[in-house]
Amino acid sequence: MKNTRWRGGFLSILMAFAMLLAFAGCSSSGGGSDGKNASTAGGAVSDGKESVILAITGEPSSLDSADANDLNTFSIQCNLYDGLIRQEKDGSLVPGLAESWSYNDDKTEITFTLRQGVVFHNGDPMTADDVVYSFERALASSATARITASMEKMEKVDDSHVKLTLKYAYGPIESCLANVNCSIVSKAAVEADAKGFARNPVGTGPYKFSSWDSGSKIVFTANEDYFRDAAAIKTLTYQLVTDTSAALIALESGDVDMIVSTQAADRENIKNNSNLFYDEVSASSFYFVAFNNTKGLFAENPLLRQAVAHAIDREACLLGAVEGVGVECPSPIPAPCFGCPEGFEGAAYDPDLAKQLLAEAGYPDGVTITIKTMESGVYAKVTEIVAEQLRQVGITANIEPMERTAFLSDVYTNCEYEICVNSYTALNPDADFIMYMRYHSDYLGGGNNFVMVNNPELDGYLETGRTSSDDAERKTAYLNACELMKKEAVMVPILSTMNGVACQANLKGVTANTSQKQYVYDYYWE
Amino acid sequence: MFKYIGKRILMMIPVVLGISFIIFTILALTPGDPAQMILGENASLEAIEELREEMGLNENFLFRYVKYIGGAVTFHFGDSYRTGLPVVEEILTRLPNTLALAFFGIGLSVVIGVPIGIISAVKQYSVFDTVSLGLALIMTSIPAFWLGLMLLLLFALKLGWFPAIGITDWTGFILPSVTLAIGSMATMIRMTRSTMLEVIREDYIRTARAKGAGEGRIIRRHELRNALLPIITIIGINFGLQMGGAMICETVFSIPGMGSLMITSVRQKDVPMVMASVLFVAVAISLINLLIDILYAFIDPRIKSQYVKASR
Repeated sequence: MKNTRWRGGFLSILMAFAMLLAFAGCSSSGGGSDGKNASTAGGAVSDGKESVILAITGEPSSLDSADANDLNTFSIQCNLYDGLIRQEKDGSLVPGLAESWSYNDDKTEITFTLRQGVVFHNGDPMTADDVVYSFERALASSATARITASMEKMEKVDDSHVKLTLKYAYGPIESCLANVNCSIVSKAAVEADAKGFARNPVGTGPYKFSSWDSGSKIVFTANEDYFRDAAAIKTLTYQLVTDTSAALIALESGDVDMIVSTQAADRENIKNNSNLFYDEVSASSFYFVAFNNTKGLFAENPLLRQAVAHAIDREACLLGAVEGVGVECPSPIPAPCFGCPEGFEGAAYDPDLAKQLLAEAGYPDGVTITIKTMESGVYAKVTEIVAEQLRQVGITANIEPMERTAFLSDVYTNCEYEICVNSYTALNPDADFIMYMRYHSDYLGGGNNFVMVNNPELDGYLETGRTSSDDAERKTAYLNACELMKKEAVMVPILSTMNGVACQANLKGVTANTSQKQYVYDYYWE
Repeated sequence: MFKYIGKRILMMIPVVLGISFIIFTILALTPGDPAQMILGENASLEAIEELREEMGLNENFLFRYVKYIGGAVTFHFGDSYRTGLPVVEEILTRLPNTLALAFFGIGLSVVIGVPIGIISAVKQYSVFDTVSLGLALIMTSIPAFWLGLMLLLLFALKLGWFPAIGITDWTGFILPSVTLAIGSMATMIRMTRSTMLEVIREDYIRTARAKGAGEGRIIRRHELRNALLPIITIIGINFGLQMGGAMICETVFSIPGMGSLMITSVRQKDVPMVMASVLFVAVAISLINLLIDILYAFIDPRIKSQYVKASR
């Protein structure tokens, strides 16, 4: 009797657990179908397939173009918005929402003729008021400072013309206008819900926002009224895959169609897989050793900086830190950027010379230094190799790996370091973006010019590079700047990584991008 | 009994306050500036300073803490620095996934682990016992991220039975649950076995045998019932820990749960999100512990009688 009661109890526990399983199963599948296009995004057959699932390793901070300030966010937003000028995937600049534009004589004013008949995702027509409003928003936002620094104001001339006034003539202004930060947003939509705009954006781009399951995925659908005709891919899903190995497995199993920023270690596997397509291009960012040029050991002793410069073997760094998947970076301007001096040779690797310079600098018996760097990924690896190379010439380098937030406040904000390993990313592929604010004395001391270099000659070259509209003159100015920085050993550029992209072999139109942008408008299934 | 529960709930208040203060202090004292984090390395000093002012970061630390607690008691946990959305909303969207994963993972480890532990104890030193010991050793030694990736390779890529990412339907929960279960199953097996062995040597077991009770009845009514307390405790502790999310498991399987939320938030110095998540986990663990203590009373009449005496 009691025996059966026990059995009943045990059975009921089992049943309760089974019900729990069933219940949770139902509730989670119910949650999945909340996303309006979950069913279409899940279609796995490639015949007549019109959806793309793209794996991302981090969520964008916001979908508001005026809040974007990192490459990951840019690369997603470039499918939602258009600017007055549009950047093609090969980097060329073509008319976007402006049909044409003209400069005044001293190149401080640009008048744009707006494209007519363009509508926002909500159906409203795009007007000159929207354009002016978008620029007012972008100029007021602290996130866009890099891109909008040269802009003074945007004014409406008439219904089809707007005029942008610049603070100074600015060489790379057109590439700034093509940046996501200068996208045209719907004034009505922002005013209706300014706070909610970051998660319910309204632009004119090839895709419109559909849903965002926090921590899981973001779904866009094709804008059927797009002014360049609707995109071939109708549903675009950004699936958050936090683990890079899991992302590759998901690509191989077909759960995702594409991954961006592939790992160097996976490169050969992907290339050898006939079901996958792989493309790569060197990134518009680079790793380097930076000295504090104003405070501490290296500021007082230029010969010591020279010694470090000649002790570093770029090739060994490239092989050791990124398994050779990258390019050596001899100048402080990475290759994809306008202004990168071709054939430039950095300080040569010469351990004997380094030892000699060290002795001349007053340290014949060696010296002990502390290198600050970030603890993650390529930073840590480059630093370890550099430290070992310095040890070979008699410089004992202690490594202080730091969390990103701590590194930012120590190095960028407070300039509390003597030597560090760091990287810069050119938000736009132009030398001005990684030269002026980093090395000009106007920006001295924290935040931007944290290497604390204060050199009037260098300032002059950077000013020419910024304000001249003659490409040849700009190139010469940047070449001179690079030569000067090499001579003074302001910093030691090391390497650029590769931006790799991998997708299913029958997804066409995919190319690697120096800024990791994905122009999904150009994609189609074959 | 109710007096006891009431007392326990009141005792949670200083615990939660203490935890909130510690976490808030750690977040305030560790290097790194949320404003700098939001604006990135391209930001100018002026922009950072402006944002700090806007976010109220320049105010006194204690003032900020009191302000935060003032909001928290009225369930205003603030907006995330990262997304700008209310943190409670974010936690509520993540919580069901974490709960489901914890239920499945721990359920699986109980359903499989406890019977194995019982058999190991009853048939001590048998082949089964030795094999289960070996299995437990292997399971507890396997790192979760490796196991997760291996399961993905085999079942998602080679066999294609389960999706490699996400949890769009219940099949997505299977691999992560197995990964979680295997991690905690070893403890479950060994704990069950050792407590069972203790009980088996008790006098009342011999008495039960002497009066002619069947072996199955002895195991279930006399041995398991008495060995249940430590097992329940382990289940409770595991469940409490899971409320903080299985970070590694969530990362490998791309599950939007509490663990991945906390990791992202800590990295981004998203103070309101970290605070709210930690407070939630603290309250959840306290409540689960309380629940276990109450369960004790139902399982063990000796403990129940203590409560009754205390309330008299």
